[in-house]
Amino acid sequence: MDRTAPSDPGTPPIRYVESLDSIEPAHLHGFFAGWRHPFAPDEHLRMLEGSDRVVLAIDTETARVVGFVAALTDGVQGAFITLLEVLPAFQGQGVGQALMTRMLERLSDIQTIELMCDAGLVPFYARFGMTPASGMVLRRREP
Amino acid sequence: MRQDDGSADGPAIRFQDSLDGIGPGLLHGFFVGWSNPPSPATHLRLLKGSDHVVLAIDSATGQVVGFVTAITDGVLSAFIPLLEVLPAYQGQGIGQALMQKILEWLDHLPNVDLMCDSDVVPFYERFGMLPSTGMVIRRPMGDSNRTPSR
Repeated sequence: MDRTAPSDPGTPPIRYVESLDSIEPAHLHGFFAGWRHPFAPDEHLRMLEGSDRVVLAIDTETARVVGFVAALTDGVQGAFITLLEVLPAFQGQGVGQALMTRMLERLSDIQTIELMCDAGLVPFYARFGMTPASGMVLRRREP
Repeated sequence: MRQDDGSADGPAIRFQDSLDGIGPGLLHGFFVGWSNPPSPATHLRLLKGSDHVVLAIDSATGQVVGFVTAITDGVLSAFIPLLEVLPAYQGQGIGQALMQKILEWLDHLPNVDLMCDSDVVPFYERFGMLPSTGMVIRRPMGDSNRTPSR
């Protein structure tokens, strides 16, 4: 059969957007899993608005945001990916990989892209051609 | 012999947190050791594209002799992509002053991150920073070509 197969019926349809148009705090629930002081949805939205580039994964059935990635950049040389998160119920379906792929495309005009991550995530980011590096962090509020 | 505070040993340096009066002609000698260093014009563009900058300027010549940049979402995170002091001006506390001044700009933010080589860890530890790990991807930057290569 050479017809294009329909998408996996077990996977909810996800669409990806690169703007915050029509996104409200009510669409941003369930993130910052495991943080001691998770950001409220309105703070989360302000953080996204203050970022230079964002990609959102949206459940087309509910219009809820189920994953996001945010980056800061000077527009020329440096970019930093601050956060990448997928809601637990939507993990394991390639949403994180799709978010990261799209963000790297959005940053294709930037020379250096960096992020901080735990050692357990090195293999995930290595898939995108990233290599481990050392850095420094200042934390003024418990995550 | 009088004991001076040390500032008299080197040239007079002033610090500013804007790009007022700064043109590419005042940005020479940076990106030491880079295989593909940004031109002064590109350097100025990345300074303008940053959310905060602090410059160290030789008062006698008007030349920029050190700089630090920061990008931030204004809520959670800030990142310091670049901090550099010209070789002839190193060892005079200019880097430390630049770092102190940029951190003052960022003092309302919970997270401030940067990437660095292990030999400068002690420098950043002075500011309360802790070593961590991350990932990086570097792509060559041609000054003549701003468009994505693909």
